[in-house]
Amino acid sequence: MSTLDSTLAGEVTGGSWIARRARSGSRGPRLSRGLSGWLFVLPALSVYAAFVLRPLLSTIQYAFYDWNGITAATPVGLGNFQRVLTDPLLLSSVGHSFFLMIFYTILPVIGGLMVAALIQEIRLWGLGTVARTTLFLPQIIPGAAAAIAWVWMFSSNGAVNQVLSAVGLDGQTRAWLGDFNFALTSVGVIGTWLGLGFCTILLMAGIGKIDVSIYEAARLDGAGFFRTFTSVTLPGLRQEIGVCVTVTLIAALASFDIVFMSTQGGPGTSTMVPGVLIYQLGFTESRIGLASALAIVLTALILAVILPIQRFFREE
Amino acid sequence: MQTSVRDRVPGLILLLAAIVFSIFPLVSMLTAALQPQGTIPVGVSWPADPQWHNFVDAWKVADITPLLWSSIILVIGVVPVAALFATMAGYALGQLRVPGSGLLFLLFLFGLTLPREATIIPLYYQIRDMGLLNTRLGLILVLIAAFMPFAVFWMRAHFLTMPKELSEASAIDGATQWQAFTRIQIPLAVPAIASMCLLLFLWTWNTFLQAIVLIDDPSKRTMAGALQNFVGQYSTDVVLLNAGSLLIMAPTIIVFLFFQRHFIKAMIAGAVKG
Amino acid sequence: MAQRSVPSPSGLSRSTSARRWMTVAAVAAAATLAACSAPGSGSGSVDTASAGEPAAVSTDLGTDPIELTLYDGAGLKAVDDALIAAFTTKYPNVTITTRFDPDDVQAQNAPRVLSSDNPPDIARIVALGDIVKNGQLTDLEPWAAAYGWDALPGGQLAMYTVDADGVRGSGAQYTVASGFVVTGLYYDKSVAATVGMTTPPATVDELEAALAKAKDAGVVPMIIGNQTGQGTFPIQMMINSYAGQQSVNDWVFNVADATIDTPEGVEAVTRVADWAAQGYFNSDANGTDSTTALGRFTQGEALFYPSGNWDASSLQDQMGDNVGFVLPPATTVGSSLAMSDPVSNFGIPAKSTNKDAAAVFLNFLTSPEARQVMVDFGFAPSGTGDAPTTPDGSLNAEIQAAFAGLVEADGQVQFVQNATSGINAIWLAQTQLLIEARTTPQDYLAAVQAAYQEQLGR
Repeated sequence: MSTLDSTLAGEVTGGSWIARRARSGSRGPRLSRGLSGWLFVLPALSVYAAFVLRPLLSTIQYAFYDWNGITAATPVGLGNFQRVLTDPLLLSSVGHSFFLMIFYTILPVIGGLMVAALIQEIRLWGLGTVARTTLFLPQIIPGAAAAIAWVWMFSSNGAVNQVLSAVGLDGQTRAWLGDFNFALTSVGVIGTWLGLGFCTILLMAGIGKIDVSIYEAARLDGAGFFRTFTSVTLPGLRQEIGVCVTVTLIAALASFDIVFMSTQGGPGTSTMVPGVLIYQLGFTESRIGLASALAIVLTALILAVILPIQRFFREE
Repeated sequence: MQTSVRDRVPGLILLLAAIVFSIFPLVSMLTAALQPQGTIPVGVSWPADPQWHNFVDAWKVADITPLLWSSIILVIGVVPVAALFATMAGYALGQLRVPGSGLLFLLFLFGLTLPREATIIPLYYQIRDMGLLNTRLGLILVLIAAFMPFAVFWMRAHFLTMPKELSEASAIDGATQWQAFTRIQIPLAVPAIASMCLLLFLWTWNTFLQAIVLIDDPSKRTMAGALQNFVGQYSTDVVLLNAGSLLIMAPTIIVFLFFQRHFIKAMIAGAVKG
Repeated sequence: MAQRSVPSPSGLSRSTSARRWMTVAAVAAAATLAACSAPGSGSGSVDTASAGEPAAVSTDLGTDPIELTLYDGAGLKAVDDALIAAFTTKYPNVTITTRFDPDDVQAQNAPRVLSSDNPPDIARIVALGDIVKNGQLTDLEPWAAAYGWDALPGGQLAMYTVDADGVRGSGAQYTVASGFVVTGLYYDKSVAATVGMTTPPATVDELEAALAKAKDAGVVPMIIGNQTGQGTFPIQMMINSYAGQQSVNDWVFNVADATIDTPEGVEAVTRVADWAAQGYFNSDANGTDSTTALGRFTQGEALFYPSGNWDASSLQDQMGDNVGFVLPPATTVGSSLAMSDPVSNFGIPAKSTNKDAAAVFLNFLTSPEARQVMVDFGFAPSGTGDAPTTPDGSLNAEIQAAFAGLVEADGQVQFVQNATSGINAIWLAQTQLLIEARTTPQDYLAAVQAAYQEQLGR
């Protein structure tokens, strides 16, 4: 890659006086270049506008109506939004996704940091590939399939109870996803499983980029493990941590596949999350307006959470 | 890092624990899938007599072949077109002077944080009104559009690293925009395009929500989308259910194992750039 | 890479022009939104006037090839295939292609599928009142006259008819059922012998006594797969007993001012809540789905399993003579009510182009051939006629006899989960709460009634 760079650079410096002349030329070529630039963007833009932006505008529009999807709609002003902010079911779904953040984001980041900080880099031949492959598997398989795997593991006869019995915690066995007290946490465990490998790899890759000499300097200064961690590792990993947090937070807030295929929001409504509730309101109960309002609030929430985080982690 | 192996043991133990944790559910599915059909397996236990033919049976019972074809068709429909559109747009935003390119870029960027749920309901009605409900074409169009934010961002980031003088030099040579694009820029962009295509393949194959909403016939969905119907129909037999789910996961896992280095690099780079 | 720092959108460096563009875009979007007509007022809705009958009705299929499509729930694939096979033997020029979605998905998708441009010709309808109100079904009156469907049993006709206000139970006919389900309690005979239950319970008090005996003997008295809502069955059985058939049917049929939140209803639900408190259900009810519960019942884990004739064939296969069936017990001896509604309540979408041929299929459902097919699959037959044959002494025979008695006594009650398109999700969530004593019977019924009224726009 670098050879190409330098070859190109050589050509460029050689021909730059020609380029300068071209730039200072008449307006004609530049205008048509701008226009043809638009033509290049057009396909992507049209399909994006038609199938992402237009539906988004429709969602905003639907949110101001009461509609069952078939007969004509009745306008209700801000009624749906009011409902979203006051109805216990809708509010609790948002609360659940915030709770899930602990498992989807905080635990994987902490776990990844611990592994990365302790190992730094893997030198053992082969372990690196094995580690990368296995740790990434959760991100590769479809969320729905992951849910099926975990439903089986969390069932009364499943692996989780088996492990508990094996370590002598027989009294703690139960049908995890059917238990009001533990269902949401169990869904959270699935989220941790999803994010842990990803964060570990990302952070390990990030640590590899930190200049070794900084670590040497810290060691020479007599800094212990913890001190090194906070002053060298954490700041050096700032961008990677930001990425982990962003990706996993969006997964937590917008989660659909996992919850839909594992608990459908149950038992009761103890694992209901906005993504599944939007689907249920929109397609099962045919309350399009309310579903759309919830979707808008969810989007706004994601933006409100992600933007500050991006800004915080991106500051250099 | 010059830490001794002994110092790294706690880290290694943690790493091993993470590896086991990541792989455990799949192992659990595998052991369940190998039990005799009709039994209710308990936890993780390697069966005394592994019934490997369960996979063949699950394949037939769940009629996996059309699912496979359907996913392949969807990938062929989505990935090349999405790659082409995104490369063109990325080129324009990264290399050419396009009036309003800042706004355009922000528009695409916004799509990165937009959850699928925000557009899925009107999409249903829109696709239905276009007569494309229950067709693969409808799903293909929706997916291409959904991938634009990331793909355009990715390609733009690549093209920003290309020297501007390159295209200007070719303009002097009399090449048209399009020729400059196809003859010079695309060949240079192949690594970026390739890793992006890997990601697009993965995301198309694993699409779930759009598949179950826009296509009612399970055999026309993605393999992931077919899981919903699959569970409903075969929940009686846990063994077959696990076998079938593993089969449905297998293609992505196999492709991943082949290309794992590129996959991981692509996902990490994509996330970092995002 | 030295020339550039972190790539930044070039537009931001020209911030004023970007801002200008964005204001333009925002104004454009707002204008578009304001100008848009309300959703659903365009092509989405169906013109009720044209949803009616054609000029003349033909009962003759002719000899030209005809293609029909049938849309049903996946759980009924086997029996539908058999019905279609019998139909095409009788009418070889007709081919019927089928489409199946998982049962509850089919119920929730039906309204949208019916309003699409290519609806099926025959579709299973669950929320009949809603769908007729939307003008999506064909009024079958002309064919009813031609085929003499008004001679069908009154209790069955009530399930096919909807009046001008969208209330079921009377009015114009829109569907014909392929057969009927009937629900009751399956019991494990050997477990019954172990716990000392000599005869199946006929009254609620006898049922409670049997449940107590089972609990003392250490078996699960009644196993339910409440993850998929099976707990609502025993609850409705009690509501039927306490509130009566008319009250429940009115509620399901969306009669004006119908309510499930009655003192009798609360009494009924309280009784079941007591059972839960006493531990009469399996402790992991909310974590077990109905198929797992069935599997565990066949392994002898429980005394009772509340379900319907759709499980009869797998129970018979796995338990042989060891399983018996009894209709739900009543509060007074002799007046048993049972949830019994169509297996598939088939209607003809308003936009179908093959209505005559579809009507022939509907009529076929009441013919002796179709009735025998339904009974062979363990369902109760549609219409009237000679009782189809069943192996003597089998579980199926027991169920058929119970059903015949039920029809004669006019004891068929509709499933409460079918009252509206979306009420099933509410029943499911609420029952899961009730079984674990996280809600009171009063709050339980109040929540269901509130959702019912909201979904019906009352």
